[in-house]
Formats: sequence, C-alpha cells, structure tokens
Amino acid sequence: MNQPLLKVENLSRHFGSGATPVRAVDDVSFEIARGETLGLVGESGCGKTSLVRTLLKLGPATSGSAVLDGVEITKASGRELHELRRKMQVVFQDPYQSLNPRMRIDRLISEPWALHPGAVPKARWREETVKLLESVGLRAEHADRYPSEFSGGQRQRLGIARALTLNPTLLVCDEPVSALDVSVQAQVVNLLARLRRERNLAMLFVAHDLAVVRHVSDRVMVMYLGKIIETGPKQSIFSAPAHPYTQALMSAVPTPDPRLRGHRKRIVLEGDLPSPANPPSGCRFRTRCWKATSICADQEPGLTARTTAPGLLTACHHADPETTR
Amino acid sequence: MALLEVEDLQVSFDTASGRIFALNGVSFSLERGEVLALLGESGSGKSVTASAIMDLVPNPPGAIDRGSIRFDGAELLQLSRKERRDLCGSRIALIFQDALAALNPVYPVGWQIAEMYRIHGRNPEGGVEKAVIDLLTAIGIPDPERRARQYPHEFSGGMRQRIMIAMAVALEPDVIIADEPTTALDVTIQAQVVDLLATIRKRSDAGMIFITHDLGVVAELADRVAVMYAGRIVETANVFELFEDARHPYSVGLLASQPRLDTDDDELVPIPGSAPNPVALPSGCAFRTRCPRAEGLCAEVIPPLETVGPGRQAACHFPVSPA
Amino acid sequence: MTDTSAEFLPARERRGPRIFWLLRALAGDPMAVAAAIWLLIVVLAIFTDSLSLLGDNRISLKARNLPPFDFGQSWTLWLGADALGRPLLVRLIQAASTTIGIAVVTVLSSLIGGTLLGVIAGYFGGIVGNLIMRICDIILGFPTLLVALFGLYLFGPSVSNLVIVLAITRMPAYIRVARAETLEVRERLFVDAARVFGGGPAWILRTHILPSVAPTMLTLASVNLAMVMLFESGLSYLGLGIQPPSVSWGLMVAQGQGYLSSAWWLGFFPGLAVMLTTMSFNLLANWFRIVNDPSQHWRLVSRRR
Repeated sequence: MNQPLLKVENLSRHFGSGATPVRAVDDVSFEIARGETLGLVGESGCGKTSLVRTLLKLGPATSGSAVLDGVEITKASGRELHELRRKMQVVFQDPYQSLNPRMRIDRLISEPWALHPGAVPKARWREETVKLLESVGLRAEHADRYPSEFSGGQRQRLGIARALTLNPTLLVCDEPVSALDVSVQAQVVNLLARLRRERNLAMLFVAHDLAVVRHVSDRVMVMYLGKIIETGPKQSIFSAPAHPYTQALMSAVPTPDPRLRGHRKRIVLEGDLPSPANPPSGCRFRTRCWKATSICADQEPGLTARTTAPGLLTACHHADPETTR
Repeated sequence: MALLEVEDLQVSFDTASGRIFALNGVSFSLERGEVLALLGESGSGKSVTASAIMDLVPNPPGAIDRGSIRFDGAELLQLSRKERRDLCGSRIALIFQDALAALNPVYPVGWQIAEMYRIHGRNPEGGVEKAVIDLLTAIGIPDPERRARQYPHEFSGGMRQRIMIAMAVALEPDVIIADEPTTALDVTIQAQVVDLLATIRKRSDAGMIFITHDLGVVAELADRVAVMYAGRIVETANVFELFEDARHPYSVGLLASQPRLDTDDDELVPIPGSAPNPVALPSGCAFRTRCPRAEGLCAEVIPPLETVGPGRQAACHFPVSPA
Repeated sequence: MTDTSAEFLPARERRGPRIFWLLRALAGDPMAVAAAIWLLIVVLAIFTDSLSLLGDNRISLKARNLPPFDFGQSWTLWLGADALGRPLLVRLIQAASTTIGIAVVTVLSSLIGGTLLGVIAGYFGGIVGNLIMRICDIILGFPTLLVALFGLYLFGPSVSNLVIVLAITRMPAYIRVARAETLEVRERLFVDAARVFGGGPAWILRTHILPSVAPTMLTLASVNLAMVMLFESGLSYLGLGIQPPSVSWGLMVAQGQGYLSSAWWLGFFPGLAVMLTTMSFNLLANWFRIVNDPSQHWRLVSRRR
C-alpha cells in the first residue's frame, strides 16, 4: 500500500482578514507514510503550532486540503469528524496545562472512551486504564490520583497514555519534551520511540530542539515564517543542509563540548523574525540571509531537489554548493 | 579572598504540606573575571541561590535559615534592607529569565535603563542620556536614539533580553547573576545572546554566575561548573574536566541523557525516575533512588562535598573513577 | 523573577477526605472559626423556629418595652420586649429564618442563573453572548436600589417579588465573573485536549468548564449573601420588603427606629444581628477564597506554626 497516511496539499491558515492577514501557515504541502515519523522544526512564530492546530481541527483551514486515511480533514464535520478524531491524537507541549487538575487519572484516561461509546465497553475501562498506564511506565495505583501528584515527566507519560486510548494511527506530538528536564526528557523520547515501534504509529513530531528531532525522526521538515523551506530524510538534512536558514539553525545549537568553544564555525543570524503579517517579498528569509541577492527579493524560491544529498528538497536560489561560502 | 563566597546556605519554604528545604547547605565561591555555571534541573535550587544573593527570597513563605554570603569581604546577610538594595543593581546585578515580565510595560526602555543611574544616584560622564544610548549601541541595538523611546512590547524577545542585560551591566557591577537568560529564546536568538554575554565577560572583570539547565550553553560560556541536585551542590569542576570525566553519577547521567546534534545514537540514556519530592527527600544521598552506583551507605550518610582532584569536588560515596 | 516557591510546590497537599482537610484549614484562621460559630448559632435559631420549639410570642401588655438583661424574667425576655410586649429574642429568631431564607434563595437563584448565562456567553460568544452581556449592561446601568424600588412598587411588595427583584439585580455580577472565568478556562490546553478526543460543547461545559468555574462562583456567592441581606434590610426598612406581620431583621430595625431614644434595644439587637452575620459571611468567604487558591495556602499554614 503506497498511499500516504496523511497527505497535506497547499494548506494555508491565515488569521485576520482584510489586505494583510497574518499568514501563519502559507501554502504548505507534505506527506506522512504509515509508521513514519516526520520531524517539524522551526522557531517560535514560524507557524508550526498553527499547522498542528489546523490538522487537529482546532482551527479552520483557510485553503488547501489535508487527507488522513482517505478522509478530508478540512471539510469533515459531525459523525465523520468524530470518527476521524479516533485516528489522530495529540500529545501537547505543556503537561501541566493539558490535564484537567480537577479530574482523577482514571477519569482522565477514560474520558475518550466516554466520548466514543463502542471503543471500549465500560466494564473494561479499569482494566484498559491499568494496561495503558503500565505501557507508559506508570503503575496501576496511579489511576486513583490527581494530576498535581505527578512530576512533569510523569504527567507527560499520562498525556501520552491518553493520546493512545483510542488507538490512533497518527500521533501528533507538539513539543512533547520541551517543558521537561533533560534527564526526564530522554525517558519520554525513548518511550515515544518504543510505542511507535510497538504500535506502528505514524508521528508528526514538532519541536524546536534539533537534537531531539534528530533522535526521533525519519524525515525532517524545516519551517520559516509559515513556509516549508527545506525537507528531506534525516541523514541528508543533518549532514548536508542546503538552505542557509537550516545551516544557521544547526550552527546555533550549542554543542555540549567545551573543547569546541571558539573552534566551531558559527553562523549567527542578524536581526529577528519579520512579521508574518507583512513578510518580505520573494524569499522570506532574505532579510536575514547572508547570501541574498536581488533575485531573492523578486522571486519566491520553490522546493527543488538537490544533488548534494539524496531526497533533499530546498527552497533557495543559492543553495547549490558552488555558492556556499 | 574570593569576590563572592557563599557558605553553608540553607533556605526553606513553608508549604501546605510542610517545610521544604530549597537549599541544603550550599557553598561555593566566585572569583573576579570568572564565569561559574550553576547547572541543575527544575527544583535543584539554582534559582533560589540567585534569589538568596539578591535578597529576593519571598518571606514568608521563604526564609534563609543559616549560612553566609560574603561579598567583597562584607557579610550580606547582616546588612540592612537598605544597604542590600544599594548593593543590588549597582555592584551585584541580576539578569532575569523572563525579560518581558521584568520590564515595566508603561515606560520606554531608555527610561528604564536610565532609572538604574537615578536609583543609585550615579552621574555618568556626558549625562545619563548619552550613557543609555552608548549602552544600547554596545549591546547591538540598531538605531538606539529611536529605540530608546520605544516600549518593551515593541521589542522582540531577543531584543528585550539584550535590554535586560544592558540594565544589568549599566553600573558596571562586580557580580552579574544571569538566571536562565537564554531559556525562553529561540536557538538563533539564543546564539546572539550567548555571544553578547561572552563579549561582556571579555570586556569587564566582573564575576558571572550563570544559572542554566542547558549543558550546551554551559560548554559555550562557563569556566567552572557547580552541578546542583535537590538543594545541594553535588559536583564542582572546571568545565573541561566536567565534560570529559564527571565524577558524580548525576553529572554523568545528565551528560549521557542530553541528545546531541553531532551524534546519531538512536537510544538516549536517561536517568531513571524523576526528581525527588522536596517535602520527602530520600534519606542520605538525595540522588540514591535514581543512582546506578547506590549502596547501603548512601541511604544512611549524606555524602559531603569532598575534594576529588585538583580544584574539583564531588559529593558522592562512590564517585565514578577518572576516565 | 521566576516563581521560586512554585518550583517547590509539593505534589500532594490534600490527603484524606476533603471535609477533614477543610476543617484543618479552618483551624488555621481564628477569625473564620468565630464567623463559623456565629453562623452555626444562626442556623440553630432557624431550626428551633421551624420546629416551633419557641414558646411564648403573644402580645403581653405587661412586658411593653421591657428593657433587656433583666435575668429575673423568662429567658425569652432576656433581650427585652417590643412595644407590644413581644419578647425580642423570639422575634429575632423568627426574623432570622426570613432574613437568611430570602438571602439564600436569592443568592442561589442568581448564582445558578448567572453562572449558566455567563458560561454560555463566555464559551459561545457570538450573538447570544453579546445579547446576554448587553442585558447585563442595561441592568448595571441603573442604580440597583432604583431598579428594586421600581420593581417592588410595580409588582407589589411580597417575599417572592423581593427574591425575584434581588436575584435579577444581582445576576449581572455573576454573569460577568462566570464569563470572564470561562474565557480563561476555554483557552486552557485541557479543553483543547477534550476537543481532540471528540468532546462537543455540552461535554466540555459540563466536565471541564463548570467544575473549573465553580469555586470562584461560590466565593462570589458567599460575599453576596451578606450584600443581599443588607439590601433586603434596606428595602424592608423603606417599607418595600417584608410586610408585617412577617418579620425580618431589617424590618425590626425600621420598626425600632421610632423608639430609639426610649427603647434603644428594639433597633440595636436586630442591627447587631445583621452586622455579625454579614461580617461572618464575609470572613468565611475570604477564608474560602484562600482555601481554593493553592498559591495562598501558606497563609493558613504559617499561621498555625
């Protein structure tokens, strides 16, 4: 079966109306195959959260389409949407906010079953809850506690358990580990990797931490100001990034090795992200790009294949090796 | 004599479920021109240490139970409120994590930087206005004359953090405490701020305490590192030694669990379990419940911070042997 | 500054049944204890009245304007008697059930109505929400007393009309608070989570929004109990509230006014009852607010230390 699980085409999400809407997501296309993990990287304000919310139907799409397993997400409503929810679940960023503090864990875990009668018969809720808790590394007695009794890492495990209640085929992880401490973050990353193997889950893994994305993803997609500016298999994108923004992003990540201090080639970008309500003409990165020429202001570069690394698609006029430094 | 010496500091907080000890006898010293990183995860007490030095521990519910903080020979804990206030800002400065919350939204940023001079009755050469513009230029704010008249919300997160840094260094303090100054920022902006801090440390001989949980930033900026866990310092070492052969099992675990951009292992090696509940810390060594090397002794005796090599200490009964 | 104390919030602060925990927290606040004791007395008074345990309430010419603290008399006369010789203590107890009854029914109706309307206005917004808020604005645009006077003048003074008028004039406060809270809770991540699981508006309102809004609303209601009592007293005093032979504390103050120079106790004791009761409600409301706000818990704790 070669049909992708999720196929997103020309999806846009604009906020506000009038002449200058904020183009949070602008004409984005990508696919996720069954069982595949796609990492989505970008800094705050790049539109990754809006993209996630649009896919999860927490906000309407302005235009374009997103098809999950044959069902058009952007147009689904009523019964169809309710069924669609079972196939697509989410792990939110903030484990302190995403669990209702007034509800006990057993109620939190079984909430999705209450909303989808027929998923799991009520008599088996307790049994299934315990199974889920154990599968994310918690214990049966945790079912009778409240969220406030758990640490951040444990809450994120609960968030993951909840996301798995309806046996989804696609798990959207919206910065699932960025609120966690390093020592615990590794636990959750490993847990997600294990669950993914065991359940053949497809994942859209959104994060700003490139190192984490490198550890979990098969393919990676880089977003800047509402656009996908580079995408490709993990090996290609991390070993031979062609887009200047991707290069800058990677060189900005501090390496935990003091010996490299001052010896590493670092690209420190000038300035800040332009306003998405009024993005630069042509290439949106040109205002901060050291390679920008007049063509960048006139023509918007499309995603085109690179010869330097297999499967790499880059949206840049100057991405070819001869022009790199 | 060290510039700043903290000795046996204990800070506790009252909570509904009992008294918790945020700091349990923390000792360290800071020399002039040195960057000391306080590295730890949430709840380790690194931010409380900064609060205690800056006299910002909310009382109640918090209290400094014992210990001493000596700055330039003077015991800070015996000074009056007024004397502490005069020192803070002028000779000991703090860079907050959340610049947006720390800046007053109703005043222009130039005014707020100028306030530093006014509060402490300083009269810089050439006037306050010139000093503010010079500062803004120095921290890399383009078009400083215009920008000085703008309000905090008109600046991006990175710019605001620069302005916080400008306020901190305005009076050329002897000690700069940076409390997670880059945590809220995106990587590309974080890189800019780290560069700026590196420039500042090169230019002045102030001592800097850099509070962070980010091993990468520590590697970029610190000279010496104090690793904190559950209100104690568990290891201090030169930054190179720490990354090459850490002695405390917690430091070792922290280094191993950090995902890296330059390697491609599929499995990370996490530290099992989670940080202990501060209300009920384990007996003996607080890390023993998560420690692969723990033995019977660890549950009985709290390991003291002992010298394990030239200029380095670790608080462990069974430290990892040198690599 | 990062919130250093939040970094150390204990995982668990409420062990055991909630009632034990509440009692323990109550012990930490002596003023609240005093308030609770007074309210307990008032509740007992209401019970004795409704069970007709009180003896004599007949007119007795012998006891006309009998001064208080004459302990030689029967206990009912310890607080003196009114112009018709009716024992004041018994009248106070009877008035308690009317006064408190009206206050409780009024507050409950505005609490339930206001919370529902406010939550709906906050969650859905749009035309319905706007309509609800504009009606609120209109009610708030008039001085409450004026609206009440007008309403009672039009429909005639009776207990049920009094309750309706008071409930409607108090409702906008509940609607506004409920709406503001809902707007805040609606944006919380756990509501998004419920939506992703397929929860519809009814489900989200019932399981997530109402329980989150409830503590604030209850706090507001406890403050309002005192206000409504004062209001009812005022209206009765003006002759538009409780009509004789029914009796409320406010009415008793009004009736006692004429005797202020000759028999001060007629106005003083009902006035004192109003003051103590409103104060108790306010003190308990304040305590309730602290109990429901985890970031304020230390106030209760450190006081006990």
